[in-house]
Amino acid sequence: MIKNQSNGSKISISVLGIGVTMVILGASLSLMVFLYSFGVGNQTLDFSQLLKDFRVGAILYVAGQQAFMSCFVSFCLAVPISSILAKRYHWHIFPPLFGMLGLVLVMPTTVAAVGILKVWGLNGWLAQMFDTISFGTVGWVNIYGLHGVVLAHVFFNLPLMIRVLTPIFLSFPKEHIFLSEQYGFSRVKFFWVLEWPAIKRVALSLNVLVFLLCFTSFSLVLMLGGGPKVTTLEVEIYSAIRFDFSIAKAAALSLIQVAIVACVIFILTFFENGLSNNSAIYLPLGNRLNQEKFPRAPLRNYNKSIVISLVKDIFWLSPLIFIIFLPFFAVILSGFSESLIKVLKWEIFWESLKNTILIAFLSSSLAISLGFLLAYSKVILRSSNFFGRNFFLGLIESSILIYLAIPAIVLGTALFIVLRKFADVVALSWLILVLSNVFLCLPFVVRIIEPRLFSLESKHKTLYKSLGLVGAKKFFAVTLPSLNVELGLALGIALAFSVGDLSVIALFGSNDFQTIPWLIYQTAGRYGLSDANALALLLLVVTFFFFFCSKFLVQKVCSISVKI
Amino acid sequence: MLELSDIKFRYLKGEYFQFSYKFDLLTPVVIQGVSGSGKSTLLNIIAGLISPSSGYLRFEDNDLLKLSPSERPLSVLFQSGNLFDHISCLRNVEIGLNMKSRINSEEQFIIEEVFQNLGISDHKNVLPTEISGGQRKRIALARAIVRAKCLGKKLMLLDEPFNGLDFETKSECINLLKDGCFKEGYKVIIVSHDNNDPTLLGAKRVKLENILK
Repeated sequence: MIKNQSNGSKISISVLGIGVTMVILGASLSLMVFLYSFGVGNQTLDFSQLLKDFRVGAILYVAGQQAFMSCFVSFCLAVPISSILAKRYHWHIFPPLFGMLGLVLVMPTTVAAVGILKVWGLNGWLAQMFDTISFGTVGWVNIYGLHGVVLAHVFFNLPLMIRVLTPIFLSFPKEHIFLSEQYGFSRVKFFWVLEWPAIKRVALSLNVLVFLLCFTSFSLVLMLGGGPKVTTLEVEIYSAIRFDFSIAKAAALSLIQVAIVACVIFILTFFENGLSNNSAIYLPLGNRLNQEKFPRAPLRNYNKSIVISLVKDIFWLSPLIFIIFLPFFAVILSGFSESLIKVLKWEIFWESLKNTILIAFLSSSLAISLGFLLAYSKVILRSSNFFGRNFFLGLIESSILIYLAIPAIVLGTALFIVLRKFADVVALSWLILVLSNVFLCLPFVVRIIEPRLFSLESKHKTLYKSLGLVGAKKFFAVTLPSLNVELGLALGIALAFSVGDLSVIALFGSNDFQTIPWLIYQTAGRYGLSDANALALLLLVVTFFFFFCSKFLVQKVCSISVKI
Repeated sequence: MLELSDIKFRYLKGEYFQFSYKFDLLTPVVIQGVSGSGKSTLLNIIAGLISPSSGYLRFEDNDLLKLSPSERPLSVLFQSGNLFDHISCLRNVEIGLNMKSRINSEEQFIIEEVFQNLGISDHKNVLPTEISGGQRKRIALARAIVRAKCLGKKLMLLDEPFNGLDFETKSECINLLKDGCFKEGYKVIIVSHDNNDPTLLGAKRVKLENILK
């Protein structure tokens, strides 16, 4: 009886999960077919003429160039920095520093752009310092353009890569470090013999993921690109709708973007088990590393002076200071000004804050619910052995990663075109915003929940049966409380991402409907940089507040659930 | 002769050790002591893998504390993790020789000879993950012998070399040690918790409590 009950609830959950997957994939496919018929099918021109008219070649070249440079610079910096962090992880300063790099990853892009401008801009800290040193004889580089976009992407990609690579470097057996000392490996030899074989397993997936994130980047390119010279397909789609009023162009470009990204993901899946199987990529936002778990022994330099070795390490770590920590602290310092009080008095600020919080809560609740359902379905399918199991697992996986193939701006464009025939699109913009946020957060939520859920289910399988724990009773008494850490982290990330998103809102933002990221973009665009700085600080506070509080919120819910 | 004089070492967690002893090393030595008493710490200090805060450490004419681990005339065999899993067994032995990418013909000959003597010639081109635990120990031992023959690293420090081996494999390894190392005149210090090992190896037993001060 109990066995039947248990199997029944498992089948219902997996059927529901597959159902949701079908809806997501079906709706996405329909939207893409619609985009095709609207953007390309209606055109009298042939497709090659269309590509020429919409400057697709030039856009792809520029987008690819900035993505490649961002990826290359980030990886070249991340490898030595991660190695030094691992080597000196026993220093008390490094574990909190590592934790702080995790915070950078949940920072809203608009806030990061404001911080980068404050440090690297024409009137920024570095420009002022340079001006003093050179007595005003040499001018500072204009941040807007390719280097600004690359710098901003490195701001986000570098911490992501460091948080993936450092645990790999820390996980070397201490005997291997001892052997390398005994054989007198040089730094280069150490890299080729130990480090490179370890990181090459993730190097391709990591770089492709970062390349895709930069290639499809929107808000940073919009804020720092400095015009059509540096652009991406997403920015062009936005311009097509917002300024050219050419929905056909937006549809065609969206389709090209989907085709390119889908091809890259497919090729990668074919060659390397895909991005999805590399959970390290999706889990760089967790708590600080446990040193006991990664017992790497520190390398000593017998033949070199300790001072020289230290100076070398500090030199390699300096990009962290200039690219990440200075902009991070610039947001905090420049936000505390008279403008802070002024902004707090704005009615539009409170209205935008209300919208931001409501959308973030709706998005993250939906992302957590859907993510949990899909993760649970995957766990059930993984531990079953029925025919077609892998096919359904693949389908669920595709629906989780749909945001990579159909980015928010494409989704927004497609929904905009579809819905405008039936309803007031502007009035429904919050719904489109929520949907795009859910897809953005879904891979992170599933990657965080799934491993723990899987180990929980496989470890206690027989215990559940013997105790007769099934259905809701099992869920509230065991599953939910056991997942409190993972759910807290997933909710924190989902809230932080949803609070800071500036993609779909850029399409639908108006005087009647605004969020804080959109308000920052608008204010900065009107040369109100001081007000934008204050808004950025407030958004940062809201983001971190939600990120940290979600942990306690989930713990509270879980402690109540045990008593049910 | 290996001389340790007032060697002091403290772990970050606070554990403190002080060693003083003179090993004549005319015969192999087996150091015995309970778990956590500092046996591996002692070997790691001699090998230079951890640095004492003070003291004096001398092997023959060398002041070991002034030498880096790669300059010390010794090889270490750890309890586990002796081989890099992603390179072949042969490359694992070659990599222990020196930093040259090419091995000369004399070194090549020695490697062939040692592989043959230890009965591991068939495993030269396989990865360490593809062979058994006993065979992995032999590869690590081959590396230590090759280092001793080619580089003159005549002191061998073996940390629980028979740990995890079944009785037959252990007997084989003991015979290999006797033929490959003891007879060749290499100086060997073995750390072991098994009371039978000194007798089986024909080695001198030294209790760690006699070394600890």
